[in-house]
Amino acid sequence: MGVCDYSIKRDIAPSCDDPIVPGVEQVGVIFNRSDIDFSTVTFSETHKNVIETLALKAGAKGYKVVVYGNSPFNGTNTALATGTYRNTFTNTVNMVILDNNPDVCSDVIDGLANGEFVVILENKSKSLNATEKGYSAFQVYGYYQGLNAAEIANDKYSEETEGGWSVSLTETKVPKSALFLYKTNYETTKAAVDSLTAEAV
Amino acid sequence: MPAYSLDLKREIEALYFEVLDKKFVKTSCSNCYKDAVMEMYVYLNKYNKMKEKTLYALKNGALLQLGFGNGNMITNANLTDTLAEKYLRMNPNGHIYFSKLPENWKNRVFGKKSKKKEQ
Repeated sequence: MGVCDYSIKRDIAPSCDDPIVPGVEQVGVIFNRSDIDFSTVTFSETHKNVIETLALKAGAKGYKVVVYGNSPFNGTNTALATGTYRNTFTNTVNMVILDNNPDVCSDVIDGLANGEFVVILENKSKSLNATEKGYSAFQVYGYYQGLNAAEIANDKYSEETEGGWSVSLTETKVPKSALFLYKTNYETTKAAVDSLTAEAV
Repeated sequence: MPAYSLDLKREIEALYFEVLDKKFVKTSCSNCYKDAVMEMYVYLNKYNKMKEKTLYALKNGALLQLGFGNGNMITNANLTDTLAEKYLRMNPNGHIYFSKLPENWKNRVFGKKSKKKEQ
């Protein structure tokens, strides 16, 4: 049994080359956690919080989540959760679904209410000037425990959702502060993320 | 926009498979048949031929690179049998990234080598 290395390993100072930028892009990807083909998952040897390959099982596909506005996925965050012997993190991913019809309710909302999901969001802060260009662009939520529904609501007179759905998914007891998807460079990683939502062959 | 007859829809679906080697999926989008025609048009205009039918297909999310540092990415969009077999020759365990492989893929990929070893 090994002893985990919890020491810090670099200066704590903001990057001058890649100043932090708040927010995420308007398009994300969601898929059922049970569709991950874990035999294909590889982590980076040099960056412990980076997944290099994440493929879905044969025939499975992911789905796009599009949230418009100046602050899409507003409320998405990661917070420390203190434990008796070990501290962990809680991930929250929020989204709005500006639609409400029988297909949306059966194919999306009912699934979200009871399933376990993984969401990949593209940060506006991408680290494009780093040696590994774009390695902070794509952040993965729900890989360890799966994101579960914490709140789902449909308010007919909501000023924000205008009669659509608001959804909040959470993942608790996450051992790492963040997980990123990154392979080779930004373009390659983007192509891998895009391929998640292609029609499965 | 004119409404498409059922016959025309079936024809577009069949053509879509022929041209792009993938199944047409109806979504809730109101213009999906028009989009499908445009997608075929753009592909044919760009490559001047229909997409090559492949014996291999990748799992969603899988992306192949032929060797370390090679900038060429292989996804289902540009996968050919030759590229798939070249990759598998270099990465025999890489078959886990494929959702579709011919039954005789090992013979196709390592055939010559195996025969030489047997001799």
